[in-house]
Amino acid sequence: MTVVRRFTEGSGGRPTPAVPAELLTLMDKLAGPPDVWDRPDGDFGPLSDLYELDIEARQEANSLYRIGSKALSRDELSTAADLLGSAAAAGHPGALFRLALVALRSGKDWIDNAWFLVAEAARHGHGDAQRLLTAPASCRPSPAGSAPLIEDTSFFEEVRLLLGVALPLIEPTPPGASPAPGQRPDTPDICHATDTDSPTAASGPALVPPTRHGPVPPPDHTPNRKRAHLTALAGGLPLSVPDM
Amino acid sequence: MPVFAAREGIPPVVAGEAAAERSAPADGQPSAWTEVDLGKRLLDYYDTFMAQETQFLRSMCNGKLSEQACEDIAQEAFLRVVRKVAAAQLEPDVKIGAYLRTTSWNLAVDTLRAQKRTDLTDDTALVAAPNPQSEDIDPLKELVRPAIEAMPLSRRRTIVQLQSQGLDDAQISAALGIAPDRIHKDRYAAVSELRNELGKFIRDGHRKKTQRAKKDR
Repeated sequence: MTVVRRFTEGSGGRPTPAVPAELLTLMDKLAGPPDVWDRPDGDFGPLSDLYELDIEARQEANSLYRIGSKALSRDELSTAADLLGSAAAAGHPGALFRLALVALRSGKDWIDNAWFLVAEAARHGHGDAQRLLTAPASCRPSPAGSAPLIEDTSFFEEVRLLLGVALPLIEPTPPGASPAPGQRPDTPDICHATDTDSPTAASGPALVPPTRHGPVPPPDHTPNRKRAHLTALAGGLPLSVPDM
Repeated sequence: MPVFAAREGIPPVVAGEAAAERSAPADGQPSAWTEVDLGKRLLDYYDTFMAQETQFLRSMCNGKLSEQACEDIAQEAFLRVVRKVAAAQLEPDVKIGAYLRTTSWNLAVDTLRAQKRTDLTDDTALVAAPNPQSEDIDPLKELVRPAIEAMPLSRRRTIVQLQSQGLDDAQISAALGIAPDRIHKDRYAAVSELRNELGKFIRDGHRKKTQRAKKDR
């Protein structure tokens, strides 16, 4: 272990630690695929301040979002509904969007509620949700035929299909244009959002050690629902745009 | 140096954790060596931690969390602690193994609470309103109004329709004839109720399916 990489950001004026390269590799592996809405710093977008949660609670919510998303990938809907639901109730835009998918997978009777969750995600700044919500108005190809940026590369396509929204969902953003309603101007792109040494880490929490939260809640004898696995669409989803 | 409570059920340092708990230099001063060492100690401890923590959480949660869920929790806890180390948010002489296991335990408790649908924020406390200065709310009505009030499905549909037309919250509240500072609260309440209904629906569906399977045998 002779190779180390040194973080130059996020130390808040303290000495910057060198982290073993192997540890960075492990971090990348544990972090999983790029996800715009994985917010370990607890920044949930433009409506964060409307929720009376401290930074620790938002970080916990983000962890529940991540764990719930893994359950969703395994089609463990009960666990996914609980964990994503908890994160969604804390104002996590990505959790609101993925909770809509839980609703959609639960049956056609849930489509109106799924749309409501998509609308909530859009209101909280989720770009995919905003595109889906305004699909009829923006359903046109971009002049250059470029693919739009998809924020939820793992689940967007499935949500779109189950909602019955037609493609292409192209929302060309001219240079210098203001962001969509509810979209904060500085929404990071995928790379920025997942960089572990991003500047957002620097503005993170104070040095508060973890303390035990208390006893385990009483058991709830409700086993997880199992059903045929629906494979989440892994990897990027550049949308093909037909020539017109 | 951070102070945190040890977990019940296991000793402060478990087998295989000694490497993760090497003590700081005698003078107690942080040094470049200890900071580099913190990352290395974490890396060396990873395999042991994952093997032990998954089993620990599984047994402590009385089977309420699947083995896969326990593994997910342990991995997430590890990632969170590594990120803190990478951002220099931990003292170099922190007892990293105990810190890691406390983080994992807290996350497991949060997960179990989520399964009981207990919010990270108390359901009885309303979220902040966009316009707290507004005075047009009847305080008596506020007292009798339940903290979580259902938003009818028809209103949810209307909100989606209005929002899809590009209306913001202020415009939607005007269209619906409700106070501007109510719209966020009502939407929050609707999300909270919706997730409860969804969780119950999924569990009920599973129960019925299980009962049918038993009858078919």
